[in-house]
Amino acid sequence: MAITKVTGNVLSDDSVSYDKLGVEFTASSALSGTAIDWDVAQVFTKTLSGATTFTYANDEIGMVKDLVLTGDYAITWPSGTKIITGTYDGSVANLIQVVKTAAGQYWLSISKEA
Amino acid sequence: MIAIEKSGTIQTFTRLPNEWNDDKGYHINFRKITNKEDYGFYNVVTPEYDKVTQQLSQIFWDADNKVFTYTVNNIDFDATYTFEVKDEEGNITEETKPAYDKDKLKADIISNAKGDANNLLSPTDWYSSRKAELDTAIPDSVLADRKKIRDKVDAIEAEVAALTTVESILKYTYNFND
Repeated sequence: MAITKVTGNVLSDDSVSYDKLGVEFTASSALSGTAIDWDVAQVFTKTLSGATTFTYANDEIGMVKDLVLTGDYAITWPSGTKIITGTYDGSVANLIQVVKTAAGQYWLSISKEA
Repeated sequence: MIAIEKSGTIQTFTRLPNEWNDDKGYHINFRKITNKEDYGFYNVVTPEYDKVTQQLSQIFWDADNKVFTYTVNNIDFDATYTFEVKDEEGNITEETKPAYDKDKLKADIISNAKGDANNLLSPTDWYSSRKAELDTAIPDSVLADRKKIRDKVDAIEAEVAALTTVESILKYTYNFND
């Protein structure tokens, strides 16, 4: 019978390797649209071609996502977003990290290559 | 200048903020938007007005022209204000005074002119001190320059005395370099 539930009795300490993690923690996805499905990848990349309004799906409290965005256009984030630090620079690639801190609350930091 | 009305309050900006939060979401790189009106931002039109004799109203939304603007109002130089005065016996009476006191305005101009003249004279005051103490002659050019400054003050006093309206007093200017 296949194991369908992992319990503390099955998993020993330090036994979950990177290889065993799901794509939501390990994959990088090039966004084709503007909907960010937090289950699909850890890192999302996109080159903007116009003003962009992002939406989220499957976002859960405590999750952190990384976005690498380029393109000198206005970006609209979902309501409840707070910018913690950084300013978007349309002339370079920007690393944007989003943390969902509570229902409808997203803390966002922006950084770029020094 | 641009402005937006938010919760009944009009906020003005010299240009679009780079970040903006509204019911559509949190916008970054906001200056890159192509149509600010989509977000409620409109131009501010400031009408031409005489800054001495006129003043602008509170900013308001002109729905017909889709701009934020002001109306121009003439200042009432004949306005008065009333205040209470208590005499030695404790009786309170009301007194009325003009909001623009012509004599005070004139006195202020002359006082400023004398102050400016004093500043212009002070670098050469030491010639006068030397003359008083040692009887050393003051160079003619210095005497002429100092006389010119004092004459200018006399001229300013005469010009100011001849002013009859608040507007003319407020618009009066002088220049010691004339």
